[in-house]
Amino acid sequence: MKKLIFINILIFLSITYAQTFQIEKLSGSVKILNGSDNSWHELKANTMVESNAIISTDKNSFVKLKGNGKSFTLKESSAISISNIKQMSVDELLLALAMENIINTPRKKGNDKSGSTAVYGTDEQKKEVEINKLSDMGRKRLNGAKQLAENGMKESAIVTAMEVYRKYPETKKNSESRIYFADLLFEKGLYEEAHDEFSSIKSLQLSSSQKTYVEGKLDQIGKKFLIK
Amino acid sequence: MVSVIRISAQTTFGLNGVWGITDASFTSLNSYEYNPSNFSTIKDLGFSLTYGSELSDNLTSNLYQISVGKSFKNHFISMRYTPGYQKEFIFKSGEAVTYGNSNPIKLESRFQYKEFLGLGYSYRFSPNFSLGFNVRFFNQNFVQEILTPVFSDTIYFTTETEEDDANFWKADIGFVWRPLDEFYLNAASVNLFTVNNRTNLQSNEKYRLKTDKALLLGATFNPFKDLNINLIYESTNSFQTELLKFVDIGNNKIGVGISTFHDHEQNPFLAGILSSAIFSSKLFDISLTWLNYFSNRNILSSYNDFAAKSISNIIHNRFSFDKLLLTANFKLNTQVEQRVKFVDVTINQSIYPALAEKYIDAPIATARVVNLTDEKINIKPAVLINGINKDKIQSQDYFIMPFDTSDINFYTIIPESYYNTNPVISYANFYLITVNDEYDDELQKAILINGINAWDGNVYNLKYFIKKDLSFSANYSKEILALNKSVLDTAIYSLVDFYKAKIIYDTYVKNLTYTSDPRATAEYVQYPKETIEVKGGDCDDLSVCFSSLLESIGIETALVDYNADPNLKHVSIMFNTKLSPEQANLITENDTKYFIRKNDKGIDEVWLPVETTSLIDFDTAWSIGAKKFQSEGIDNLGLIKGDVEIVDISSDLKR
Repeated sequence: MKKLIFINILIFLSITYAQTFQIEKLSGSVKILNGSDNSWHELKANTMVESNAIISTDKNSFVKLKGNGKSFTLKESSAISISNIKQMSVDELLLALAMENIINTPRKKGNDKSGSTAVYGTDEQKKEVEINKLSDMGRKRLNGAKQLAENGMKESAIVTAMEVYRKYPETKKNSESRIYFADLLFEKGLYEEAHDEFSSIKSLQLSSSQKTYVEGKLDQIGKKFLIK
Repeated sequence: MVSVIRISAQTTFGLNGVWGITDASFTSLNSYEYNPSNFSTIKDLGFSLTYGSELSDNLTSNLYQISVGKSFKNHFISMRYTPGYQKEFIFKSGEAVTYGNSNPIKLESRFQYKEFLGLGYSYRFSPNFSLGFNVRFFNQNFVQEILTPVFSDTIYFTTETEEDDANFWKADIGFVWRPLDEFYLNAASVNLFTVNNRTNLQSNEKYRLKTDKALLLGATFNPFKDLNINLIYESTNSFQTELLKFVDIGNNKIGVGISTFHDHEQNPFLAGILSSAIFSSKLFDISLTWLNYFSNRNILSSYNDFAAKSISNIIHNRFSFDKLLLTANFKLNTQVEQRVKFVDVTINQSIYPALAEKYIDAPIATARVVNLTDEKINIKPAVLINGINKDKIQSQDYFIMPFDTSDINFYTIIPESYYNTNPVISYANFYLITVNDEYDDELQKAILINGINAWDGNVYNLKYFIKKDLSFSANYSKEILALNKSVLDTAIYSLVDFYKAKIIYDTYVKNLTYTSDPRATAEYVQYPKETIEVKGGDCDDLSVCFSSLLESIGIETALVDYNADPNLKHVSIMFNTKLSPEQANLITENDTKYFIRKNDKGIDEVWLPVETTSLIDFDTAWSIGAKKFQSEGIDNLGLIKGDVEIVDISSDLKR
């Protein structure tokens, strides 16, 4: 048993980030989800939070974090993973985008075995329970990503947004935020990535002004390609 | 008066117009004169016969020789029957003798020399060196008529016949050495051993075949393809040279040979010329040879000349006539001629019996092979590993262009029955097969066969351990699930796979402890059944076991290989809950605790990382696994840097 505990400690140590933040100030309802937690807890001032924690604010709430020489304020109706509050280089951004592409590539055909060797559950239970389709958390995480960009961490903002799109697929239909992060890609000179993103956005239900904007961006990127 | 009434054919002069020591040589079968060392290029069985005519005033034709030769691996034996190797000298007194009341008497002396047969043996020590000998049997028959006085009332003479038979054996040894591909050297004795070459009558000694000891030295040079320059020197101060050229006609060859010789017993200095025309095919060779002496042979010679020097070669002496000879050689090869050979074989990897299926796709060895022929050849590579295979395992065919060299791979099959837990050094026999089941070349190499639990350290190959005990795992998992039927019956249908994994984990870890590898040359991995029976294991064993338990009941798993630090490699697993991202909050609100992956149809599914060395309970193992994966795989970009790798198991098991 001692050995087992030792191994677990080793694993914990290897994954514990040096990046920790202190809650400097908070107002309203702010919750935290620590690494191993499955549900939210109220966050209190002067608490130390680790990198694998997620912080979420309700309406009319905010929290100010300080650590690693940075200060970051999470505004109302937002959520952020502490590990995303970091400065990234463009190279790191490119790596992260490539990683997202790999993750989003369908796996090769696996076994089509049914999930059960015996049938468990009742008919009533087989009817899927109602699930909150568009998670409020997805929206909050996108808001958090935008605030990263506003605080100069644009690369990290893009990576966070991509991760949110993957974990909360409904957020991909949010054309406004999609355009926002596609613009960040353009701004960073990642024209191919921006082109892919704007092309994907074009297939969403867009307002006429959004449509005009997206088409304009695609033309602009096309010209950049020509110049290159 | 002396008259030679019959001559026939025989130290180093033979009746072949083509006599160089080469791969295409005629001499290898039928000429102990040129080839005392019995060198041969015959692969299996060969026959030869020579028929010819003496171009004297009285045209005579003879079957000179019939030969047979047979190869047994590196041994070659030959036998030659030589009915036409004989020469007879008959001398008659010029005038009749009349004495007293006797009838006129003419006296006759007859000296006959024959070679009956010969035997040869040689052994090829290497492709470039051969040593051998030959033994030949000769007969000499000397018959002389003499006058015997009879004393009675008157003295008269009668004719009596004195006959002297002298048989003898002689033996010679020699070798052929090929220091360069295009250069042969050979050396041999001449008359090294002679047994019983004595006449009964002292007076006949001077007539016997001369068997003075000498040394033969020969060289054959191939400066260009199908061009031979041959030289033989005999220490009696005789020599012979030849120029031989072939040209290709389809799959056959035709050639011409011009040879001239100097014999210390004959005049002029260059005593004659041998001209040959040759046709050579795969199955037989034919040569037509004209032996022309420069001196006039159709003259009478004296008894005194004969008696003074005798002869040393039955078929080639100062009394021999020009000859026209037809020689046919038949190459009746029943053995497969070597068409390809190994240059070398490189063992790519030691054998891990646990990874049996891997060897169907991954070659255990690669050989460099050369095509020895002028044809495109289809090669079937095969290998037999002692201790693993009972029969040769044949790999895919390869084609190699004429005289080309190519790399070919060898694959093997490990039988499921192999269950040796200890590593052993064994031998692999590699074969190159081109026709039927006969192999052209064989090469043996040592190979390490690891124990059944050995693993090469490649996480991808852990699937073979997972797959091995699937039926055991299925029974084990079903037993656990049956005991928890009530929990599963009341669970939300979408969460059934999640609960199954949780229940199985929580149940099976109760009796497990973490134990590290017994250190060995190769990593040691337990099969799932062994892990459960010995109640513990290291990260490889525990990941293999839990993956097997889930896979056996239809839950997809993947191994997660953490390899950022080569000194601290680690493996754990993740499994597919089959939940959609929207359903993830049914199990957790913490989106860092799961990983979204698209299935083959592009549908997002929720996967949960589990740290299998955490033997407390499922929730702890999940939390630890998720943290580590999120940190090293996602936040540190390990999935793109190659520090973290996901190895799917299900898709491979389906194969």
